Amino acid sequence: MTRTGQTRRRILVSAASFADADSALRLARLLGCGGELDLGGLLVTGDTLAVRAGMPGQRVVTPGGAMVPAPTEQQLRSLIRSESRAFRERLLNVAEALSAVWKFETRHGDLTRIAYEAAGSWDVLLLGYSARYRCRGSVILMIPPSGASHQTEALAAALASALGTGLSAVALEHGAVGASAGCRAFASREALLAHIARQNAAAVVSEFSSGHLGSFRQLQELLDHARCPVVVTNPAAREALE
Amino acid sequence: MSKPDPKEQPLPAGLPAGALRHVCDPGVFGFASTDEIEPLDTLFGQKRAMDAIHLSAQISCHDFNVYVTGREGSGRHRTVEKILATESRKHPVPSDWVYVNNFEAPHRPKALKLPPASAPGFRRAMQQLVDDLAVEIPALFESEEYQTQKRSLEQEYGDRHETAMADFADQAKAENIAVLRTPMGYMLAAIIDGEVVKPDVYETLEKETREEIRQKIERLENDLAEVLKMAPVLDREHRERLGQLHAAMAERAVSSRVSDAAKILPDVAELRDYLEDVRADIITNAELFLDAAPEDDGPFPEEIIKYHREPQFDRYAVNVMVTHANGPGSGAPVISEDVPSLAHLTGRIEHVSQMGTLVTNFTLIKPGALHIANGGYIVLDARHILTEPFAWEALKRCLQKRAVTITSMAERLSLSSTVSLEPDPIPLNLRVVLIGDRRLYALLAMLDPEFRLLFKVQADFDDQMTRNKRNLQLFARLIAGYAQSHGLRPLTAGGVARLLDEASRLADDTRKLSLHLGSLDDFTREADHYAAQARRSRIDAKDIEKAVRAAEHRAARIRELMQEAVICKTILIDTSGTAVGQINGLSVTGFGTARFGRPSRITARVRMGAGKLVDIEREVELGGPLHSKGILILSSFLAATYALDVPMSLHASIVFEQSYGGIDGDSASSAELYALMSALSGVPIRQGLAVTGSVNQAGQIQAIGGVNEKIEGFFDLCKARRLTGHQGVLIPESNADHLMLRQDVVAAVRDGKFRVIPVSTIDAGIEILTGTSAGKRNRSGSFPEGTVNARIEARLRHYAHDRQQFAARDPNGSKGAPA
Repeated sequence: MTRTGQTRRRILVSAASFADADSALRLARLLGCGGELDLGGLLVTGDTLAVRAGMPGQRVVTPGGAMVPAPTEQQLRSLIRSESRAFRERLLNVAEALSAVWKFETRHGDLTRIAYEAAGSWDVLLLGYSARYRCRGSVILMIPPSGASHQTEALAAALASALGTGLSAVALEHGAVGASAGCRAFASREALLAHIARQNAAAVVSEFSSGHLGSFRQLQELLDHARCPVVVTNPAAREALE
Repeated sequence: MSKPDPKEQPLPAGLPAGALRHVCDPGVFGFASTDEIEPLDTLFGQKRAMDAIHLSAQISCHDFNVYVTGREGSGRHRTVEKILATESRKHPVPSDWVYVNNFEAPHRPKALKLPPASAPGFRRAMQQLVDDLAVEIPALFESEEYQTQKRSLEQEYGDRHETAMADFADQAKAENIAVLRTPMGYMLAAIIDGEVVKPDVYETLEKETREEIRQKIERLENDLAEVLKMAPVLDREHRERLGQLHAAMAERAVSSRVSDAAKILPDVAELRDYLEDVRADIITNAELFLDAAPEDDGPFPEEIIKYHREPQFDRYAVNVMVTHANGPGSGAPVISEDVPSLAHLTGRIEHVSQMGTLVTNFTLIKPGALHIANGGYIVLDARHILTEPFAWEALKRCLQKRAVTITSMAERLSLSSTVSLEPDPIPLNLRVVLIGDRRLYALLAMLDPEFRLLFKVQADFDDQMTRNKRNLQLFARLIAGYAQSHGLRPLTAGGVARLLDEASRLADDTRKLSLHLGSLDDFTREADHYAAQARRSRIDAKDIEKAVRAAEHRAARIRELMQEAVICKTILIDTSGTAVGQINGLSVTGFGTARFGRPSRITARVRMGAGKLVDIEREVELGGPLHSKGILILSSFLAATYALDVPMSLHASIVFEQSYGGIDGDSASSAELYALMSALSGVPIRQGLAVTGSVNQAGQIQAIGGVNEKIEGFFDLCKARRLTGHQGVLIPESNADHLMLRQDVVAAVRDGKFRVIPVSTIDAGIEILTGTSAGKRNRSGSFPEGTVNARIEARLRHYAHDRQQFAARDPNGSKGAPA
């Protein structure tokens, strides 16, 4: 607690590229208004990517649908440096705008694993994912089986309001929320994720809890299906890495 | 050098005093003052010109425009105004014209013809349309109905995007292919045992397995490319659906408001078409109205904000070019354009500066005088329009094409490089009245072929009219009307009579009255001032006289200086005695509006020669062609009258002594001939007489101009030196009817102190001038001895003989055998 009585919020923004980071930093700017803030930036460059890029005949499909040769190792290094620089500068701009204390680092490895691990010392984890479609969809609140905390629900509502979009909630049928009013329930996690995969969402908000987003693989799965920024609260409830 | 006056023949008395000035009798009017008579407010005595103006004003042919000629001050402008004011009321009020936006080609604004006086109402209706829609359209797009439909569309297309991607991701996963995201795009990799295959592991795989993986990845890459290529297609489809939604939403508000605007003028088909274009354009560009909505609550409520003033709504504005009131008594317009420049005449297209360049649109089209006068009449000064660059050409072009096309000077000179417009030409139905002088008319008729085609009517104002009892009465009424309309005192009958005498003086003819009303008006106003100073309630003859004398006096500085020079003998002019080969000629000099007579000494010298008559003025290029013509005529008279049986062996020279300016005209040719005859005959000429009149080859004296000023000029000199009773002026007999001399000249003649002597032949004149008989040829063909003609002939024969003798002389000096 600060001397003024306001809670100091700590938001970690993690992404594998500048474009993804930018999408998350926009949300961080909306979430960070009002109150004191620590803002962290974490660029994670995947080793799989570097290894795959070394494969003969490897191609990249651009967002426009064109196919180009995969970058060389040297090109990748240059790319990573420029991505890092851009991420850092944007983080600085946002931090200055919010009068936040900031820090930035670059790591090498798996994005969700490293972000999952780093989230322990933060209040909110923002995983970035750049949107392909220009129109913003609604914010999806993914309610854990044990129910979402008031903090998480408030964050989702605030985010939807700030984005000027709607808020929809999804949950598993057998969870604590169940098929409550305003929440769409699914029989299985796969069905729920499949539903999220087909939604044009502005962001997915959830919280770490055992069996829900308890592992980095579950986090990776959510990110792969959401294909939009993922906001996760309550990092203290995440399970220890294997 | 002067010789004593001869006594052979006495000086004739000349014209009686009564013949020198035709005085109007105030008694003929039958009134004591002009406030007793009915004033005349129309011009008279100009029937020819007025009929021509009426014709031009009434005829429907488009090329019967009229050129009104006449002297300044002849009442042309007043007459034209009065006639057109009457004629215009017989014609209907012309249509209003507006320019509106051409939505398909904005650089070609459309002209719409509307009923009279309706254009302002239509403009207000369009402004109201914009103001209403600026409130209604944003409200529509903020409505829950629109927002819901919009969100639904966004959701639909968003979901379609994500579904396609999700399906691909599922397919890839089912085939054990991982989709890796990179900053450049997507990369596909095989998954074995839940792990992405690394290169070293990949190399250890079976060849068939590697090939299978390669083909699978290649296929899925193509599938992924197809999914990603669909994104812009879906985007475009989304935009189209959204546009349709916008159009549907806007349609509801727009159609209703456009229908309201159409009710202003339901019967105008062009307007209906235009409003249909407006409706379609607003629906297509509804975002203009969304952008105009205020972002927050300002000081003014939304309902009273004048949105139509915002620049983005200029496209719906109505530019009223011309509108006409259509009340009782209205008719066709009558416009007088005092500055007929190109822009004032045909209108102009203004520009505004935007980001360093000049831009324009149809709202910046300004009307010209042709637009405003369209359907009626326009009065232009010919000299003014001809001196304005490109204005005359533009007027002719508009009249020929029967449409007003706006062209700027910069465009004509190819200097314009800015965005410009090509507005629809507005059809022109106009009658042009050009007012100018006769010289301009003659030049235009001669040199401009288009002028004759477009101005088929000439209204020629007379400079004078016959002086008879009827016209005197009418003139009196005209003067009464002028005094009344200008708030002047009424004139007594004596004042009117004096003014009309001045009118005859201005006409240079006692049988005429000048129609140069401007001068008469000036005298009347000045006389009114003098009457006011004398505290009289009416303008009397003495006030008019005072005004006339005062005007003369104001212009008399040069005249007095010249007379002073003569009195002081700086300029040598004799007014008594006699002299051989010397005579007083008379000319008229003008400075500004004033004219005065000026005597000049003309001398002639003779000797034997080869038959040459030297006009010294011409030799030094001070003599104009008319003067040279007079000299040639008198020399022909000489050659054809005397010593016809011998070669002309005269060398003579004639000059205007102490004249250093130009001389032109032949009014002094008789004086020059008299001087020559005196020099040849040796008979002296009376210097107390001055002569004016031109001579023809038959020796007849012909009329000249300015006879009054010439007589008065010599009279003033003689009077300054003291009248002797033996002084006077010889004038052509045909000028006797032109005499309107000053009262003091008439009085001097009456008292026998001065004479005005009409002559009709050279012989009659030489007798008066020399006091010696001229002489007529007798049956033997010779002149009586001692006569002037006899002496002249003898001298010429003597010259011929001497010349012959000289020609026969031995070059050594001895005389040759006689011929």
